Amino acid sequence: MIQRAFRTYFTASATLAAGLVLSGLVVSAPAHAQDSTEPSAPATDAPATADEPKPAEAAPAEQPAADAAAQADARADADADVGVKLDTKAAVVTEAATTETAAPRPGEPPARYGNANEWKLVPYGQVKVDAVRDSTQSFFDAQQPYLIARPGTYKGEHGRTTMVAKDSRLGLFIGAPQFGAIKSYGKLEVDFFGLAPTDAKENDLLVMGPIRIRQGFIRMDNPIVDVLFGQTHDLYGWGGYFYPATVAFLGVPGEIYHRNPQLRLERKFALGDLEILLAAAAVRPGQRDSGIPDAEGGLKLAFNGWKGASMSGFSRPSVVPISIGVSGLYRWFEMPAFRTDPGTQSVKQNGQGIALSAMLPVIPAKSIDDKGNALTLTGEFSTGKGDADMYSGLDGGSRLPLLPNPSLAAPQPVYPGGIDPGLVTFDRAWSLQPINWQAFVAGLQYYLPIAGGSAWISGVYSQAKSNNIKSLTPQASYGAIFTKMEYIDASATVAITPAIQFGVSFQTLKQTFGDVSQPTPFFGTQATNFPAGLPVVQGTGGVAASARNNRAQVTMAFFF
Amino acid sequence: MITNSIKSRIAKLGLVGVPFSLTLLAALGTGCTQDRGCAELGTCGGQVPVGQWELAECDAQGHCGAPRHPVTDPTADPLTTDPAQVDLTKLVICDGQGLNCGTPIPATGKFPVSHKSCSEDLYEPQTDPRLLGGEIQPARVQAIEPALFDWCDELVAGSGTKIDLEPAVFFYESAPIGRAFVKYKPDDPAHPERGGDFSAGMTRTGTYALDFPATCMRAFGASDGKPLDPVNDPMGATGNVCKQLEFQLETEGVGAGAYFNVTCDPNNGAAANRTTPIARRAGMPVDPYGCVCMYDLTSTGGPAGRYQMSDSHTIVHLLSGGFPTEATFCNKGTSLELTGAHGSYLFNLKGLRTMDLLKTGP
Repeated sequence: MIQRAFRTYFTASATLAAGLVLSGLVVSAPAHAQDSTEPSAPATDAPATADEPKPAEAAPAEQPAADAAAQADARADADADVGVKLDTKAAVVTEAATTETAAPRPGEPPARYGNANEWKLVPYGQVKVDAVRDSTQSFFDAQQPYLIARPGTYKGEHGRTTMVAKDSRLGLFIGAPQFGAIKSYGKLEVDFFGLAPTDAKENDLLVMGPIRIRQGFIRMDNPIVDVLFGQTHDLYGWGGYFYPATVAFLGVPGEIYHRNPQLRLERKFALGDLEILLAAAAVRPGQRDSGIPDAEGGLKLAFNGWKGASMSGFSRPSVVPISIGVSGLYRWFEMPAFRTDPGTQSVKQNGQGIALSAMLPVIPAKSIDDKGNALTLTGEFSTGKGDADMYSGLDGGSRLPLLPNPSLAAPQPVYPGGIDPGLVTFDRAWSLQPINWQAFVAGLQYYLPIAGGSAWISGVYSQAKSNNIKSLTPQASYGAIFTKMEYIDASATVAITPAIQFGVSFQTLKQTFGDVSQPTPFFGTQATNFPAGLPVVQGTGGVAASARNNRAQVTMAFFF
Repeated sequence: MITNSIKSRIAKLGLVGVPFSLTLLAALGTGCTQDRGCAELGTCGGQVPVGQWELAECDAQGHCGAPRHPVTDPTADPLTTDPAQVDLTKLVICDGQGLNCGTPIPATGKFPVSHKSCSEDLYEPQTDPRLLGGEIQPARVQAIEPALFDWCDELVAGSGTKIDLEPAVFFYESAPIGRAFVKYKPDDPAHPERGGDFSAGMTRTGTYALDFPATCMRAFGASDGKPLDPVNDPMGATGNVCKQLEFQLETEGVGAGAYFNVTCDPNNGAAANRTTPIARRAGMPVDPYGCVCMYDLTSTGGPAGRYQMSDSHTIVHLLSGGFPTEATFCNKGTSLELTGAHGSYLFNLKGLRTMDLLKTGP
């Protein structure tokens, strides 16, 4: 009876999920710029938040579909521990249910091959609520790299409390029957961080989260090379594998965290316990008008003989092997010449980046149910130019400069642009230059020896800085850019049940701006007093202006 | 069984932890605001501060109102020392002759600036007037990003008679207060309910540097070797584009903020001239065919109106033509400390938080 009840539940879930996912695709289609690439209008930005899918949901992207069912079995076992008998196999939807879900027209079954019971349809996701208290009024939900309000300003000295359920997610994993040597499956995943209209009220913005597509891809695994076509985490940074554990929204400042439509090829080699994964991808261009897709590639080594516990962002922990990864990005930019009327003249530039990532279980975990005392270190170092968008909406405040106006035309001529801010800009010689960023993220997570590691603490330190954003910005705008970010957080999480986690976190983010503080003390008013010059200029107090936002966050999530 | 028992306890812990954590959240959030740039001065109150008050004179060590003393450390002489290398802690405040140091000397008309007012360091970008017609913002849409400005500060350096076909625009509203007085008159005995009159004079001062890239200086036809004053003295001295610009800026230094003592030099990295160390310190890259210009800003003005005592340590300034403002004060007889009350700006002057004044007249 119980099993039947759950089967009914999952059937209904599948139907609902498919409907939501499909409608989500339609609704969120204009909001494809996920992870926010338009900080000039923060009121409408969809924060790129959201942590990486929990291991059970990440598995289908990396393993044959059958593995997902095995993981589902394991999850069901875990659920049994708390007295809930969850027949996860019920998630494999019956033929009738599938037919009902996918039928394009009443009475006509969809064209489909294979036996219906060979298809797998697994809904998954999370219901998540976040309560956030900020010390400044600078952010919405995620600590996106918008400029922090300065001390001395109203927003810089008054706090803000935000409560959202928008980081809830709904995903659908669909596995098709094996066709020859090809195992094929697809994945659709949405959350509620879609872009709100520009005239949305605060209530609308926080309560009515539009659906946003997070992942949607097709994958074909075969003995020669695995193919993925669709939107998922970028290969640059090996998205999904090396995220730090934190209650904070991902990506944390300085972390490569981005999803993109892509065509990816992967090949995995196994040498005993050593697993080698090679991948290359053609990715949506950072600037569509460049006409050339970005190129990404990576190598990941994992040793399955040494495993530890890891939580990606705020998700269910999993047992992962010690791993290191290196990945790279190369991209092209092409824009009209910086002229009032450039004709067909264009200027070109390249962007690139390289990232090193590591997952280091210092004290290994025995199993997912016995991970007490496990200690794991995560790390990522990245450096690049013209790759700011890979860091969850980072732009440093940089904007393309205005055109000079030698003809004194009115109105002022406007440069057409055609690129998201923060990637490239025109320097003082009006040459197109990429903006450089260098960042690292270090994370530590420790699972307390209580109830098999059902409670754990974690901390993250990260830093991002640019060595040329200031020299690429007109002096009058130094105060509108930041050259460096430093971020620290400390989190504590408890798994109340295997499906429900509760976490608290304290996060602090400091930005260092392009201008510097006023001199103190202040010398001289009239240069006639000091004909050769005063030891003072604008902001030469010697201390770079900065601002800080402190955040306390409480989160609870139900994973299914 | 044991495991389940432990997990049950964890579950209870989690349920108890929710309200606890929410409380913690509020506590953490409210207690972790940023430190204000200007600390509040004294609020002891005291007698109604009738009289004239001026900014206190302080030296580099923060000793205000100290006896006059000359420059004692020759290595700190700003005339000969790269400002980046100056040990500010060894500097004292003097006039141009290095004689009158340490206290206000209003009689000379050269008020050495050292003072103890404090203004918040607000980023106040200049507004580009060209955008007003070209990019009018629709209602409810945020104003254009402040970083949207051009490399030339609107300067168009052409090949015409004057080098600056379109002059540069620069004015910094958030400049610190360099000199100030506040005068409180006693109540009118016939109408004590009206309160007394007050007036204040504020001078925002500072020495600023501007960076003009080579493209701004030369791309539109300007070239070296032309007369500095082609209108009045076409056969006179010639100079490079920087000196030509210097002359024009000097003669046009009026407008939103007055600026004078303009010097412009090539941004060539040479250590000898006045501007290069300044440019380096401000983070400007070397640009040999461009110019770095320095100017002194003096913008004078001030509020006036009536004042009333709100309580024993708070004055309400009823500004003529402005919203009333409150200030806490501490009148010690010879000195007066004023602070914008409740986080407000003093006299509604943007950024100004506190003033430490000395009594200089009845």
